[in-house]
Amino acid sequence: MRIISGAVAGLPEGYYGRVTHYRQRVFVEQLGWRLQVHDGCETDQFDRADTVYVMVEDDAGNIAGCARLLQTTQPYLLSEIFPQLLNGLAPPRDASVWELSRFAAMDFNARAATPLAQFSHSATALLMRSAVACAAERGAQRLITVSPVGIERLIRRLGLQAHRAGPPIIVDGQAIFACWIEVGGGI
Amino acid sequence: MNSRGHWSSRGELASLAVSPDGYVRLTVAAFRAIRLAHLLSELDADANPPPSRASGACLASIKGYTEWTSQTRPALSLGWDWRIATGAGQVRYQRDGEVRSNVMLVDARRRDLGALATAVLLCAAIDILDWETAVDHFISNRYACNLSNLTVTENRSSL
Repeated sequence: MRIISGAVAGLPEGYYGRVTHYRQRVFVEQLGWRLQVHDGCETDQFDRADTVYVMVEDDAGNIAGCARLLQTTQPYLLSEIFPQLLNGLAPPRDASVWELSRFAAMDFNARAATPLAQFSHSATALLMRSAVACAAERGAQRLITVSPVGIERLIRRLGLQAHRAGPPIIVDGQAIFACWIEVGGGI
Repeated sequence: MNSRGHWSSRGELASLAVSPDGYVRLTVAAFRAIRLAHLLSELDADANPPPSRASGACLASIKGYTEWTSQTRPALSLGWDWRIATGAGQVRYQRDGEVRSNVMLVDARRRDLGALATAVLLCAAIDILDWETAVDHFISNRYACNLSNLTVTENRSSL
């Protein structure tokens, strides 16, 4: 497995299309999230020139996981769409805080099936650690996620220091929440 | 609701606030004064059922998680995993692992007890909370499956 990361302009040719197609397969086809899809790719207003993507590619060349990093000094998912997940706290706008979203490591070659399948295969730990490291390289001291609640269990299993920002809410039948992750804490 | 905290007419505990790091800080006594309500529970699919040598029967592990919250502003949020334990002809829910929360417990001088001590104290508090009945009721209704035959054997008092 190998990690590919960077903003759109720095990704190898074709990888932006591949990661957004992978997101469509995971979040729309498999998880049933109601997201914008164009030409088989899932994108939204937060896929910008400054957005950083982290991908895991398996030995056969398939995308096996993805994550998206956004600076909180610019509009981000939590600040614009789900500020209520912060339990009354104003959304951070701080160069040392980055948002982690669209995190998934779903193996389409394995038998599917648990509610944790989004996070269940061997690429998960590599992807999470790589996303944290990638954010740290860009000055992040903390990450804030908007994710299904299952990610909290994953983060704990990986030994990362994390705690939730508030109670989950139900969106499209799935419990999502915001979670703080300390960069450098336990990686 | 216990009134050891300072409750406003809107039901807010005056001393509660979200810190910039996202934690809600409060003392153990203040935490115990707050009633937690069941928010949701889910089953985990059993991807790896344990092997069974019994013929005609298979003992599958049943696990899940549960989420609880307070009616305070800001809200306290606690979640933990559970599993259904069997033994001696009885079936009951057991907490499985530590509590995940947005709570940081502090001492009387408002100093953090730390994540580890907070987790230990929250686990102790959860273990005297009658959460099993609410989870069983929610899971039984949501999944309408054989869990409806479960009986919760421990009769515990709520926080």
